[in-house]
Amino acid sequence: MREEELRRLLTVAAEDVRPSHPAGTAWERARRVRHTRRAVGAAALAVALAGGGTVFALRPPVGPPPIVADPSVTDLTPTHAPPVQRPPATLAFRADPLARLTDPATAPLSREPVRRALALYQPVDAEYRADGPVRVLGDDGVVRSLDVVDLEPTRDAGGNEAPALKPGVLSPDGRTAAFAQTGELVLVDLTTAGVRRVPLDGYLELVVWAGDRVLVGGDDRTYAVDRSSGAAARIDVSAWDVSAPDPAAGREAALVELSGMRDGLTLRSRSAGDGALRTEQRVGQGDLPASYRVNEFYGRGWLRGDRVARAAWITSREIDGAEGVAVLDARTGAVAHLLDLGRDRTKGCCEVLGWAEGGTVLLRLAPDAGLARWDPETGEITGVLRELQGLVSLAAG
Amino acid sequence: MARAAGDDGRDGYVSFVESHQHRLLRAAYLVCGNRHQAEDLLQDALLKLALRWPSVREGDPAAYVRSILYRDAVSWWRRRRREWLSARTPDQAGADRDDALRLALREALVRLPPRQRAVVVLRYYEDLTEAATAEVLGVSVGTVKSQCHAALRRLRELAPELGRDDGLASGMEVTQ
Repeated sequence: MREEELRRLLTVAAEDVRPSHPAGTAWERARRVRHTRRAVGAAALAVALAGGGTVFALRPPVGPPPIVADPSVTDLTPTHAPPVQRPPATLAFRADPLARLTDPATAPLSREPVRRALALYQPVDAEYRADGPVRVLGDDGVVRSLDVVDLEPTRDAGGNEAPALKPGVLSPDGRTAAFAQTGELVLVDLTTAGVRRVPLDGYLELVVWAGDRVLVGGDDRTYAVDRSSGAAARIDVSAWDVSAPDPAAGREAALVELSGMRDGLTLRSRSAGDGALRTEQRVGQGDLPASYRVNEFYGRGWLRGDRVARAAWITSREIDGAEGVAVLDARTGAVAHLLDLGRDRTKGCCEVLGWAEGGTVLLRLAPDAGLARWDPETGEITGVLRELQGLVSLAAG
Repeated sequence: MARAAGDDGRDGYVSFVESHQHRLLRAAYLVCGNRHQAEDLLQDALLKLALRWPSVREGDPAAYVRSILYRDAVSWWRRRRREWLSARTPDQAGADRDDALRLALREALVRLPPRQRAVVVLRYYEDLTEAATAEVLGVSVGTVKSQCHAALRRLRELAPELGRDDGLASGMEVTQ
């Protein structure tokens, strides 16, 4: 194929693609972002002047377009929420220990190990590259810098890089962090600042804690690494698809994978030991209104009891391609709750970061909040942190 | 670009977007292989452009937004499940030979790693030089060369019909 032929085919391949948004759409979004940033700054200043720590609300001066009422959808109903929920127009922010996770570090971990970490955080630059050391928020509210290991981005055969800090690297008990690095898994005992390296072959990018084991892998293999001994064995489970197991479920609890797209969305149950397939079923739409469906999942899924929570791209009454978060029944694959986040958000805005006490889901909720809690059973959503421009992993199961 | 008194920049921005968004969207589509996602990618890039418009508009806004678009395309996918790598495009080939080639190229493109795809689109759709491609992606010219070479080799493997001698040139010889 000649150069000019490749050019011609590329042109032909895209010629019927036309913009559907008016040219001024992004300008209006930018205007709302500027207003919101100003409001956030003013609110933060007001709280600082008032001494902080109390409940307050953030209301952008100019909000998103009004949402057309849907009788099957209820906005923030505190009890008996319907299957499809939406975030409130005004998000209340409550005092929360996690609100300090982006604070500057005031001590190195090597000097002040934690009793238990609540979260790991690392700022990123405009290119989504790690920008500065990982910060460790302890349960004492003090932020340390992770100074006992130098982390490099992972890099696959295609030259694509990914930061080492991802949701899932911090153990649910907050005592150990596990990082995929080239040719090894690095385990950091946050209670002693000790580092252990486990050599492993193949491309490693993703980490999931499963009881006292770490599942680490990439595109073509996954290892299960024992936390205490460092013993590693291959396991037949996808590091991309597997949901983080419930920490209370025990070592033998089945591993649950969510994969596929649209009509091919599938939930698989695999044995904890070797990953052997136990059950496989299509993801059902449960009691969702007919106009709603889940199209594709993204980010990590998180199990709590029989529920698995994961961010998704969905079809709503308004559009195919809206942002959402789904909670599924892991026994049946049916969608039990769906948080409809609309389309007026950045693509992949709202990754799930785990479950918290009381059955709430911790998630990103940009631009309304950097971190928020959602109770799928009641529909209540509250803000934890206004902005979260960086990588994060929570000690959440 | 002249700046009128009291102008917040909206008119100039809208004019810029109107004249560039078709080509940018098509490039985004070639890079990510999905129309909805291409729209989202472009809207995010245009949002960033709008937020920086006062400082960018006197320079080269096209270069700025192109850089945002392609770098986001590469990093964006790395942050998410890569199911799309094996996802087929919904289009069906018509009876026309050109249709078949077009679809073969599309399907082969979406199976390339994100950076290789971006290099191919920048070099052969945007018609940029290797140096300009390197600048957009924030990588070295050497990386562009190696990624382009690898991408074309992979395209040959994935879509051998593109090089068949039935209306196209014989062999798979793309000048680099």
